[in-house]
Amino acid sequence: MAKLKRLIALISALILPLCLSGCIQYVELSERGIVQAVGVDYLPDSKVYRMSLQYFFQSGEGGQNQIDKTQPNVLKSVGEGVSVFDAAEDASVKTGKDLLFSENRLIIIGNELAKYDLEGTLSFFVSNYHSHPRAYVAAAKNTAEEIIDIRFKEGNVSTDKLTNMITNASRRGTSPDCRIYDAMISLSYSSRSAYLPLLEVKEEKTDVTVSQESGSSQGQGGSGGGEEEQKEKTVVISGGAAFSQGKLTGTGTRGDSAGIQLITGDTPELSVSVRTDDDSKAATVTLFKLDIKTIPKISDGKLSFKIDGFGFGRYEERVFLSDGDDEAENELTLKVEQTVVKSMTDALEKIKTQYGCDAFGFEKLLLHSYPDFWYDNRDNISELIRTAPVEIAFRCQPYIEGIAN
Amino acid sequence: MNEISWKQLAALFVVTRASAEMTVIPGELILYGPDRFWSILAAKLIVLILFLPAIFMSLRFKGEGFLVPAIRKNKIFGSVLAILFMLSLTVVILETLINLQLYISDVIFDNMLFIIGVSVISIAAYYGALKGFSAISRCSIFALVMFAVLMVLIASTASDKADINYLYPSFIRDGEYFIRSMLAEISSCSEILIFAVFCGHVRSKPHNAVFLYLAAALVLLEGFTLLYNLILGPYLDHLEYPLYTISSMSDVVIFQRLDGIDSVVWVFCCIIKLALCLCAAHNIFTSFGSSPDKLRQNILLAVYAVILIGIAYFLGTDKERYDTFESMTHTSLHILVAGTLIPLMVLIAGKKRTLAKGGSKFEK
Repeated sequence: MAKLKRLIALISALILPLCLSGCIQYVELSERGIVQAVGVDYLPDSKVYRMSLQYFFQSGEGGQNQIDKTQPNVLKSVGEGVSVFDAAEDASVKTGKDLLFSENRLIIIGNELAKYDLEGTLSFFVSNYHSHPRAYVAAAKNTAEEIIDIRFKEGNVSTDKLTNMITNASRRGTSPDCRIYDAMISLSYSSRSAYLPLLEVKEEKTDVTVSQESGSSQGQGGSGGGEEEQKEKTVVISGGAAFSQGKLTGTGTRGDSAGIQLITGDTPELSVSVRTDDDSKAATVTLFKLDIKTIPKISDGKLSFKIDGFGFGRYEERVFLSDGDDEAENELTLKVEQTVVKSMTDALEKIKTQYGCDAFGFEKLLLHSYPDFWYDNRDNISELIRTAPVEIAFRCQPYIEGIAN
Repeated sequence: MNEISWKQLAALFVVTRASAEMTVIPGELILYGPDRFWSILAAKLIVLILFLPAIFMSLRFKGEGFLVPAIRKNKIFGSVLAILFMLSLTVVILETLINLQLYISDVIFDNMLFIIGVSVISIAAYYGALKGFSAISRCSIFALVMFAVLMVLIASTASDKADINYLYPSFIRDGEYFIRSMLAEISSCSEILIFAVFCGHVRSKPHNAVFLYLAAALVLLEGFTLLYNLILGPYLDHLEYPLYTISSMSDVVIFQRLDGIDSVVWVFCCIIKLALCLCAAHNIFTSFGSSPDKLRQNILLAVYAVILIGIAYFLGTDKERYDTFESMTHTSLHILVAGTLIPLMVLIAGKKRTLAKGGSKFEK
């Protein structure tokens, strides 16, 4: 009898929780719009937000394979409203689906919207706990919608291509990536800064995009005709967007982005091409095991920073160094060091001094090292950091390896 | 009556404290900076002092909670203490119910009706309370293991997100935050009430459970605070449920986010806490029952639970009422009365068991 009671209790414990789904209003999966990428623009004339969404097209799934690549696997929807939430609601109404943001991989901020409050825009995505916390945030050079309009062949869904581009650029040290919580943490400091990868639509001779009209694998520019016709619209990372006090203050080049990533110490490796004289072929040195430290200093009440870096250099092409040619090797090493220092100096000059954007985490380091100084100057800390001098030193040690030697 | 070991009691306390950390402490009191590290340490030291009367009571009246020696002294005296204790316990249960429901509607099912969430949880807790203190203790070991696994998973993915530079060593906030945070920390320490009731159910050295629990809670809470600061930095000030956020950022192999597992563990811990509180109430009802009619006592407990659900609904669905209730609980008055004052009174006025005629054992 006791065993029977236990069996009944066990079966009840397994079956009864299934009934709990009746306690909430749930939505069937087929009635959900599984959002993959979001672009948010602001239309200043009508003063409305415009949200463009790429959401998963479920008709493409089924059969042996989960995803049928002969079908366009994402669809686009747009919505407009006086707030980001309103725009999302409008998009939901137009698609006839309940939008699910938990799989969203990418949030793109349009150029016009970037001039307003970035924190306010992103708060929509973090205040809803169901949004994906590891989604990338990027800025568009023009509108976010034109980026969303482009569909790529690669990846399970079109958005994979864009997120892979951002991940790869960060891995190669050419552009820092930015997840949504990274942006929110950065915006929480008094300078309210952020630096986002800048996406730009370009016409190039590639065949990576899918024509929206046909859903076939032809590129957007079509397939016939001459060289002009073979170009198609694609997306590139052209640099970064610098935000200060939550608003876009300027854009940086890819070189600036690389400089920022070097200073923040997030660069796993970076390839540097240098010439020892004007006529020689450029030599490429890949810097790895980079160790770059930024140290804030207070001297006589004045704030300054010191950046001290070290990295091993691996010659990718042995174009002119012969064995035992120490002089040439030293000259090359010096050039590499100068190039790296210049990259950091240029980034600081433009992003920190001109745009007032603390993409380098200086305020974090200042608060960490000198909290009392930070507290005493908390109302003026952005300006102090913007005008603070930075001393940079970088040392490269050649590391010869491989069968070429 | 000696049902569990002091180690089990300590594990049970850690589980109830763990649930409180996620669902009871308001996010506004978990702020960025070093102040909270010190407020936790100060709170734990104060709680240790608050525990002392209950510890001495457990040593003097071995094998008994606070109520039996009080009733033995005088039934009216015992009744007054029982009423005071029940009022405090009711505050703890209401606080837990309301905060748990808010947690569920905030992070799990935003469209779940308040009354349904509270009712489902209360039914599970009621069932646990009927199974008894020993069963809840055994259950808490499962919860503790789940909790430990979750923590290991979160910690294993935290390394790439943690930044030591988010920490800073100086007090730059005003002292008000320190005091508020410390009081909130003390007010959520409902384990002291549970100890006052169930210390007699521990086989030996119940006070060891308190020391182990306080040490574990100190490490646990300081660890949480360190994790929050290292990963979220200044953004911590803007979050209501920081651990939920961190677990949602955690990515382990095929699990792209751990917030689902996190909510299951926390809700499970919270149900154990509620079950324990209801079990304490049940224990007090039975102490006054003249006949060992189990069904009547069970019905009484069910009525008590239904009344609590009604009050929780009344308080939890109106922001103004909720804020008033929350500010009242953060004074820690109920903890002070039921956890310290009542054991102190029992210690002073309670009556020890007398030797049975010609026997060597004690009897009531």
